[in-house]
Amino acid sequence: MRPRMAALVAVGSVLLAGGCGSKDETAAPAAGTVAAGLDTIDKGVVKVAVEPYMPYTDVKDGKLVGLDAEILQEAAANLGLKVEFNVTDFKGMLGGVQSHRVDLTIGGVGWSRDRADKGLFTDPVYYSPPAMAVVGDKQYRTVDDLVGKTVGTVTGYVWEKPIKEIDGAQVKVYQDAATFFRDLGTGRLDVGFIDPLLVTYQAQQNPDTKFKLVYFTPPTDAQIAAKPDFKDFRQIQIAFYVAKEAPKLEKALDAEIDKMYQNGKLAAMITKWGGDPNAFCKPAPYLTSLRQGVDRPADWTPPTI
Amino acid sequence: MIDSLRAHGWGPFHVHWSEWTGQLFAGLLRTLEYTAVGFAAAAVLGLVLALMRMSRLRLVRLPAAIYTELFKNIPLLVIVFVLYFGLPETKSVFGDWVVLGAFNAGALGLAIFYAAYLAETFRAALSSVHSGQREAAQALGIGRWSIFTHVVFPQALRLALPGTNTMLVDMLKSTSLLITITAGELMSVGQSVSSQTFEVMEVYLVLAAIYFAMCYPLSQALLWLERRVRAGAALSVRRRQRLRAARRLLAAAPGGGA
Repeated sequence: MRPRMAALVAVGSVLLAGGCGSKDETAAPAAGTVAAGLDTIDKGVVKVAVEPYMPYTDVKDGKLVGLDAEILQEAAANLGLKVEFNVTDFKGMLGGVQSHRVDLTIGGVGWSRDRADKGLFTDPVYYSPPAMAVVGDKQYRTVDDLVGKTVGTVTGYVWEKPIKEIDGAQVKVYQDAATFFRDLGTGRLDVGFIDPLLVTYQAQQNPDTKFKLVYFTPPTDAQIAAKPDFKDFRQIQIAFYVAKEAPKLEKALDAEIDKMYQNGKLAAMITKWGGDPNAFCKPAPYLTSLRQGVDRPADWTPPTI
Repeated sequence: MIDSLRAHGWGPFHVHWSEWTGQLFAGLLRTLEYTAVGFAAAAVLGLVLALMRMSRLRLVRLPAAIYTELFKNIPLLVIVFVLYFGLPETKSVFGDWVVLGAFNAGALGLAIFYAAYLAETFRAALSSVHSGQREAAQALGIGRWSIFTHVVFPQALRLALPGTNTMLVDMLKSTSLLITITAGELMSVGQSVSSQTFEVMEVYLVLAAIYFAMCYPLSQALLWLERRVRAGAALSVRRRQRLRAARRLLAAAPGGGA
């Protein structure tokens, strides 16, 4: 009994020590640096939750790739932060930030009032024009064209609410983008709302894809007055969603993001991943006042190139 | 804190549930639809399979055995996924009809899965009816189909009910898996509420309460049915009329006779 117990204790303590030790591989940042002053979960490290969502975020060969990923990596490098990521799904991303399991989440996260109640949003990293994915050459331009059609989106996206308000539309909500595209392909969906660069990326990878991106004319003010939820059919500001417990991190990221608009890096990244800087880097007029008084001061204006 | 609670809505609840009652009710109805259709199909298929497995012919027993073993040992989620997302991939071979709608795929998936379990329950119940019953009926000259419907089946029903009841309540809860194929049932509505209000604990506790409120009365009603059947209640109209007639005759007989 004795030798076996001793062996068990030895193995156990080695594992424990090993487990405790792995955190200290990166030395803690020096006291005076920017990174040390930020309120991340671990000093010097920014923990981000992502989902596989090319071209916005994805993991390839153990590294984060994608548009949002590059923006974060640029900002983190300037702040002296190391990026640690974990992969989950969309609801897991938002939930992780709200429960402070991660510092922030990135990847096409649109600003919405409900989300802003439970977390902090940085300045918008880009603006996503309203667009739909369709199969073939079907033309849908306005909300009225969608009446009576089968419309789909993914659970938790900002479009989940407005599509339910379309008259006579049959609504289908998918667990992830993969099943969403599957059904769009088989014809069970007439049109789907999803982040626009997804379709552009698919077209780049697979030239004879049957999915097309159709740019959507936003609803008029009268239509929005009649159905308030239609407001989410307009241009959406995409930002990084930061935990409520990390306001300093959020402010630091704001400064970095604003810099990227000015020095042209953002426009270059947008172009690289298939977007047009004129659509993605310029806010629509209605956006100017959306966040004033909510999570931004009254004199704040959204950044633009 | 009280102010923020009041600002949020009803008492201890943070979610404005009054906004969602319409959708919740629609989801509830869909859940019940899936359960009703799925169970009816599963019961019929299960009975057929059970009878097939009890056949003398190997050629009839084998397919039933394969079916039962196959679908008892595959998760329901996999079956539903294959039916809804997997089949359309074979469109070029089988034609457009393989692209099933969400309701058809969901109900079919539930039926296929639960038929395997019900087949086992029914087989056990049918075998438990004493073979002497069948022999006595044969001796009386009753035909094979009539033996089944009038002698074996009513007795087997009593034995099969407990297992069947469990499967029915289980199926009602399993409809929540259909959220993955955009079925629009109760769980989908719950997920929608949760993803828009970011209240996870509250929403899913309320959902659990709704499922409980559906399943508990159902299982109690089925228990009542079991007790009634065991006490000898008549299950078909003709039988009830015959029993009533018999009781009348017995009451009318002089001296409460034999």
